[in-house]
Amino acid sequence: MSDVSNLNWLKDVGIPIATFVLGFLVRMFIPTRKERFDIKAHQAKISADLLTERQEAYRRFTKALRALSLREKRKQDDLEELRSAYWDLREAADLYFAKIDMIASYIRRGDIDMRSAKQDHYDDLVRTAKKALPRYYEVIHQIAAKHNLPQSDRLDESTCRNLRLLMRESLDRDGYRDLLRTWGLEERPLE
Amino acid sequence: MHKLRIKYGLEFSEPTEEQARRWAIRTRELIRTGVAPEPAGDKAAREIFRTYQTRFYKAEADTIYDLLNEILGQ
Repeated sequence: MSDVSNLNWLKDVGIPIATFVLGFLVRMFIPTRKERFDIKAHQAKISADLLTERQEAYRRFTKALRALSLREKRKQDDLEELRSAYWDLREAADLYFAKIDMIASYIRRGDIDMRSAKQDHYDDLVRTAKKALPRYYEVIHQIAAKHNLPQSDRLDESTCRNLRLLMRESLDRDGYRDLLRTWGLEERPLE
Repeated sequence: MHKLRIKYGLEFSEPTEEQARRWAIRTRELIRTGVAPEPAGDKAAREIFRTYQTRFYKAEADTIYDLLNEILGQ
C-alpha cells in the first residue's frame, strides 16, 4: 500500500519537478533559435565595425607611406621634414598592425564567426602576415640606417603575436614554416 | 544596377536583377542588426557578388607592399 502511494507521489510530484529541472537545464545550455540569431548578428556587427576601423587605419598608413615616399624622392635634405614623415609612418604602421593583431585575436577567441572572418578579414590578414609586415620592417630599418634615425624595433615572436598564432592555427605546416622564415624567426617551439 | 557595378568594382556580367534585389534585402537585414548603412552595403556586396572588387580591387597588403618598395625606389 505504502509502495503504491509512494509511486503515486512520485508520479504526481516527481515527474513535474524532473520536467521542470530538465527544461531549466536545456534552457540554460542550449540557446534558442532567436538567441542563436542574436549571437550571429552581434558577431557580424563586431566584424563589420572592425572592418571599418581597419580601413580607417589603412588609409592613414598608406597616406603616411606616400608622404615618406615623396620625401625620399626629393633631393634637398630637410632633416626635420624627413624625421616628421618617418615618425608619422611609424605611428600609422603601429596603429594598423595593432588593428590587424586585434582582429586576429577576435577571430582566435571566436568573437567573430568564421563566415564573417573569412568574408571581411582573413585573406587580408594572411597577406599582411606574409608580405606587408616583414617588408615593412625591412624598409623601415633601411630608411633608419640611411638617415641615421632611431629604430630599435625588430620583427620577433612578440610582434603581432595573435596574428602569428592565427597563422599557426590556420596555415598548413609548410605555409607556417615559410612564414616564420619570412619573419626571420628560426623554426623552434614558439609560444 | 550600373551604380552598384561601379561602387563595388564588379565585372560587366554583374549584378543581375535578382542579385541586386538580394543585395538590397541583405543590406536592410544587416542595418536592422545594427550595422551602419555603408558597411552593411559593402558586406552584403561581398556576400552576393561573385566579382566583388575584381576590376579595381587590390588587397590592402599588396598596396602597402608596393608603397614600401616605392619608398626605397624599387
